[in-house]
Amino acid sequence: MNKQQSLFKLLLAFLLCTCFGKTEAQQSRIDSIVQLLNNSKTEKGVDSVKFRDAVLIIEKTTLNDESIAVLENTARLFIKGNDEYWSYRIKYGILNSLIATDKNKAISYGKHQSAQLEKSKSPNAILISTAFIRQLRLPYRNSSMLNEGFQYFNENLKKYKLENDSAGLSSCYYVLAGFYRTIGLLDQAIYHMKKSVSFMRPDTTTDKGVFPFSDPVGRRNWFNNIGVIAFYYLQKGDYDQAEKYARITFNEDRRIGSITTSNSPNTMAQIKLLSGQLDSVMYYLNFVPGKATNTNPDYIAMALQVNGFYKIKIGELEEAEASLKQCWQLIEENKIQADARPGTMAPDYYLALIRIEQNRINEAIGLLEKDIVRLKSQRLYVLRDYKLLAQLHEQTGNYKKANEALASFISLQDSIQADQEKYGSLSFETEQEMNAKELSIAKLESQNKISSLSRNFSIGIAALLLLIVAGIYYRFRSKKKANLVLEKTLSDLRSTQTQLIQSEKMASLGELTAGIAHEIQNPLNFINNFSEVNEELLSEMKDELDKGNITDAKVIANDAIENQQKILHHGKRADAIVKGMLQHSRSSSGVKEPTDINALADEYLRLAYHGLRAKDKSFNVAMRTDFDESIGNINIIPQDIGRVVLNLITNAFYVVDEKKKSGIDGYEPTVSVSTKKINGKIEIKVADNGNGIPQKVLDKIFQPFFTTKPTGQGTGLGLSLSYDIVKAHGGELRVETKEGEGTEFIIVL
Amino acid sequence: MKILVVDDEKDVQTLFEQRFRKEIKAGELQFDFAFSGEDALVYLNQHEQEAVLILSDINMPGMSGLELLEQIKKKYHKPPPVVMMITAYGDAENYNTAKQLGADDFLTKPVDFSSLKEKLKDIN
Repeated sequence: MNKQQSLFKLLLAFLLCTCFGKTEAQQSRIDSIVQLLNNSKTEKGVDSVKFRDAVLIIEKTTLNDESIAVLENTARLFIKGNDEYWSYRIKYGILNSLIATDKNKAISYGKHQSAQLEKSKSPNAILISTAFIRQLRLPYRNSSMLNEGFQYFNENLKKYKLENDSAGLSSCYYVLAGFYRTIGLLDQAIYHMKKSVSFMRPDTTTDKGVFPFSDPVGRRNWFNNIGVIAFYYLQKGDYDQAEKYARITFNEDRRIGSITTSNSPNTMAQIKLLSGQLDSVMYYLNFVPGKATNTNPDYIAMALQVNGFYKIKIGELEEAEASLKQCWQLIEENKIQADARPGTMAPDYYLALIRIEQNRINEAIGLLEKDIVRLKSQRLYVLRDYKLLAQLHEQTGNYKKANEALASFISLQDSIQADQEKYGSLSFETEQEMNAKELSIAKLESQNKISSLSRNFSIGIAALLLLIVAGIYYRFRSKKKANLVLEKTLSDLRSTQTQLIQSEKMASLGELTAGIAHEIQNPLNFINNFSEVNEELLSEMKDELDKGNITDAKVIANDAIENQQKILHHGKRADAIVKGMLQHSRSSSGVKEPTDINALADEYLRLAYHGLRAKDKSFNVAMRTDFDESIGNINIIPQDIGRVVLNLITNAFYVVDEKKKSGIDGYEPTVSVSTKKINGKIEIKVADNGNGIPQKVLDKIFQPFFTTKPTGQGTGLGLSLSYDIVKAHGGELRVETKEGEGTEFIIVL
Repeated sequence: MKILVVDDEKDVQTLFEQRFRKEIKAGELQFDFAFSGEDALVYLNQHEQEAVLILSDINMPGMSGLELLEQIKKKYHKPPPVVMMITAYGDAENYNTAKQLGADDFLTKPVDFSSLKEKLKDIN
């Protein structure tokens, strides 16, 4: 029987479905598939095209136990000696079918297969097994079983760590990244994906294994994961980072000619669209083929969705609607999940946007409600939908519904927050391993001449360290007691001890932040009170004007103007304080802007002082400033340089305070901050009259986690982060010290 | 009544002068300002018994408001002036320390001037 005949038989099976009972129809369909599979066997071996077509039909068929048994029997006949590829390719098809129809069954089937594989002696058993395990992410993700998923993959992670199995580790991190992304914890997702990347070997020229069982740590997957990182950054709204990563994958896809079966054009198009570079969107979308084939309907559907959104943005609503309807059609024909390979499929959301433009608000509401049900566990998107829904209900005057939507919005936001805390803890030990691995990747990239990426990684490491700091700090705060128990049970593990010591150290950083939070009351005092005074003054002024006392009115007006200037000044001050505070919890916006470096240094001097003062009432120090007013504004990332200045000042305060506590007669602790313009460069100097830095530790002070402070007083991250930040600005961070006399840190920009 | 305001931020002077401009005009209240704890002590030495009320910030470079409070309450026995602390750091620790050292009241920033005025009336 040739291929056409089998297809005909299959068609007949479909027809039978309508005429006879369901079981019989399924029977025929399975028979046809078996036939197709057997037909793919030739004398020379398996005809991969025919075979693939048959497997794709399996993936679109709803299977019962009986039909699975039949297919597995067929699969067994494909085993030739050690080569189990074809056999497991069929089973993989079964798994995919189950994923679409019965998620619980899919999970147990996948687990069963990977357990079988672990016993197998087939040379590619590991590759195949990891592929099965990776695929299990889908049923966990697209159901309400994420918690079980987290548990399962974290357990596997532990197992692979013990076995030092990089394929397993990389795969688990990959899957966990996707989970975090699903529940909306993007920083965690990015972190885990970078972790997954860190176990990979992109320097191999050819990957082991054949799709879909390709080498999980090979070159192709490396590019894939880099593309996913781009996608996470995109969702996070960090378009610069997103583009850097996306371009790597995009260029590789073009180089190896896989651009039509890749998601990278979609990602690039979305980055351009969301970052407002509308005229570049079509350039990238044009790389996506217009017609779906068997292997890429989800990529095409995504392209249609992006195109729809683009058309909405440029006001071509009809075309947008047509595109989104086509998208829906593909979703239904191919059973594409909401949480699909190329990203979140939510055409209803965009259709709702069209309805809003057309002022058909009730229809928009209906679409959003439908979208929320469809998206389920994709919390960031559901959050987006609730927000819009609340607005629309409000617009139509249905305040009850609006409040309901808002309540859902808030409770969802809360649960994301709660999870952020719950999953916020990270192991410290693995971070250190990771640093080394990330560095080796950076080296490799330079070999590959992907120069932009290496900078990404150093920023990535910085972001990562911040994440660790935040993570460990949260862990410390919320799980202080749990940590003690942990210490007891695992006291023999040195790594855990390190982690505990480290978590303690983080507390001090948090306290500093708390001090800064108080500090904001100072400017608010002026803002609130001067505002009230001005209200009084203006009404007095009105009285005077009524009485015709122009002169008195003018005097009052002048006072009010002066007050207004003060309000503005203190408003800006509050702004700077908040920004300073935020940078402790978040990585910076990364945008350089003209900044008054003198004001910045002065503000951070105050912050550091009051922060420490809030912590330690006895703390006292003389502060001197000498600012070069001719500097004007310089182009820097203010949060980042602010962090450096804050670090240096905090350190200086600490050392002079220490020296004072040692009880030297007549010692006056002094910290001075000065700026100076020299030969077109800016020098920011933070000097103390402490004990100086001993020669033997001088070359270590910029290393991460190096600190001379006793436990609980320093993170050991300050100077190393500072050094990286100044470097990233193209500047230099220098230290000059004399033992017993003091230290000067000099930032040259 | 004479009031000494101690705060390292100079804008505090303008603020108090404006918020109490009616009382100042009517001669009910008189304000003096010191911009550090040390200055405040110098002032008190020179103007003994003049200031009935001292309003002091806590977080100041050099001598802190709490140290100032301690000095005043220890040294100026006859009769010690009323000292109210005004701080942005309204945490329990600050509050307890201030009370322990003999602060008569503890206000947090942003200052609620209408309630401050009420309190001043009580002292008068």
